[in-house]
Amino acid sequence: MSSILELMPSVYAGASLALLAVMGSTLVRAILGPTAFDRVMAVNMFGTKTVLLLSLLGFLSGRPDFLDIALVYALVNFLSTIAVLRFFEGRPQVVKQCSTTDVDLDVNHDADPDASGPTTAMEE
Amino acid sequence: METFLVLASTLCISMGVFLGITGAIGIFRMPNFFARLHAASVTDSGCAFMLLFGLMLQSGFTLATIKLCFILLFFLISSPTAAHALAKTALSCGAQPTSSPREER
Amino acid sequence: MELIIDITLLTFLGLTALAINRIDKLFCIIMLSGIYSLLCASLFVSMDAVDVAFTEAAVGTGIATVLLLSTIGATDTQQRSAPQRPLFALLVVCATGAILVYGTMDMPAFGDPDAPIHHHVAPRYLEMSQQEVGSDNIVTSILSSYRGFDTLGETVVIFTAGLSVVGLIGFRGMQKFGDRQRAAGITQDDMGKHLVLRIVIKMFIPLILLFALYVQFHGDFGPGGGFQAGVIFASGFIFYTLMFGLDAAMRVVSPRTLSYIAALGVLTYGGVGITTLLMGGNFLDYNVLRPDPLQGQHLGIFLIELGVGTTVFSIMVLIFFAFSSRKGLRQ
Repeated sequence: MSSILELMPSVYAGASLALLAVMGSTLVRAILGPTAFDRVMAVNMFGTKTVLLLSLLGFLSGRPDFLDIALVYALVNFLSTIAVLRFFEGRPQVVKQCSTTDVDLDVNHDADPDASGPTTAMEE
Repeated sequence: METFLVLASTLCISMGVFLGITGAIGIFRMPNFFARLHAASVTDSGCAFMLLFGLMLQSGFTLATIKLCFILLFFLISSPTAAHALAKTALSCGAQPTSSPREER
Repeated sequence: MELIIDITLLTFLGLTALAINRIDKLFCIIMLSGIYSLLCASLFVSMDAVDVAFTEAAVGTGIATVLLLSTIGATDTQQRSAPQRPLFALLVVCATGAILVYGTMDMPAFGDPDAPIHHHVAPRYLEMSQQEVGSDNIVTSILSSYRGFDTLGETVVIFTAGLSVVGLIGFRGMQKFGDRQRAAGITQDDMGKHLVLRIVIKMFIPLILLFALYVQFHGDFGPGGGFQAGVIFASGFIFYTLMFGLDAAMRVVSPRTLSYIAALGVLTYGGVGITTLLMGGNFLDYNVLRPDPLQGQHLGIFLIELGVGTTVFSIMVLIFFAFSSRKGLRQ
């Protein structure tokens, strides 16, 4: 009866290791970029994985107190993503400056003039 | 009952981990930003959901379960919202959603 | 198992630090420092320093990222390379590092029970805090009761830092925001945009504020306390500002009110100390507040945590307002 419950810690441990691997690859994506949005996405994903890792660690060590921290992280991660997006909004030049390549960021194209062009012009 | 719970949560957690690894492969293999975002956000929500659900099955009816439930609900709403906002901002800043496989990165 | 996790996290930490060093795009550095803070918190958790991890979680990724972004928004997104080759600096850094490494040789091993720190006051804190303070979380009882004086100092430091930032940066055109926004037509224009974000954030803000209050009042029993609660409460306000504009946020609570609240927090803390003096005890000796010492401790910790929480909250929001009333984040 109790033997099957002893299986759980190894499940948690395996899951934590796999999550660490995922975090590593996300970290590489955040370092490589290439566009600014890739980095934002990578950081957001890294945050999610950290929250999951923290929850798993809490269960692994048998102290689910840690969940408060996971909760704060879930919240704060969302905040930083939104802040970055509000920062970029309507400033394509800044996005271009913040990216290490401009392969799929064509700032001067006129494909969607109603997206952000007029508002930026009006603001200045 | 215990056996069932253990098996169910193991299944859920391994599903979550599988989704997570899929996402990690996705953000490397996909050709452009929007495809990568798609890979990342879909698996992100799925991974969080499955993993936390698996943990909830294990924690029984305690304060921990309620907190896990909150984290789960928060993720279910915030993760798609963040992806949506990210895609919208990227589009309005001039990132092109191209479907040609030739386009590198 | 824990060891493997620790080593992996430390490797990631090193990688991130190296990458931060190599990249000259300031935006990437901010993103990577967010990751750095996430990694730090995971490490703290795996080393059982839950309260530290909580603080790192609340400050490192959220507010720090927001403030850094406002900074590069107001200045420049490119790093200027240093013109000279700082050989001397390298030498100094290497020498200091060598001395520090040499210093660690005298330090006891990690977790060594014979280390001096485990023989000085720590045993008293660990053994007696249940009877003397009656708080389940020993960190809280040390922070706010045994070491209440230090925490008062920290609160004053936060208060001073906030005042200095506001004094240095100030508020640009505080009164004119409404007019300027109306003239530019931003308010009407923005209402239609970001419908999804608006609804989601509107839904989240009450929950965030409620959670902050939970952290504030639950500090006796679990990780958390005034500092973390203040930061989380401030995060709720920052969410509001990001979505609905600086003008609207300043109508909720004006910078002037905020500075009063900040002072009030510090005064609450100090006032508790003065009250205990007047009631015949030592400064910040909560035992005399109530006939029952344990109840007195409970009341005293509750009050000073409240003071810390309000100060931290108002200073964080004040600094954020000061930063984003420059041209940093879009309002």
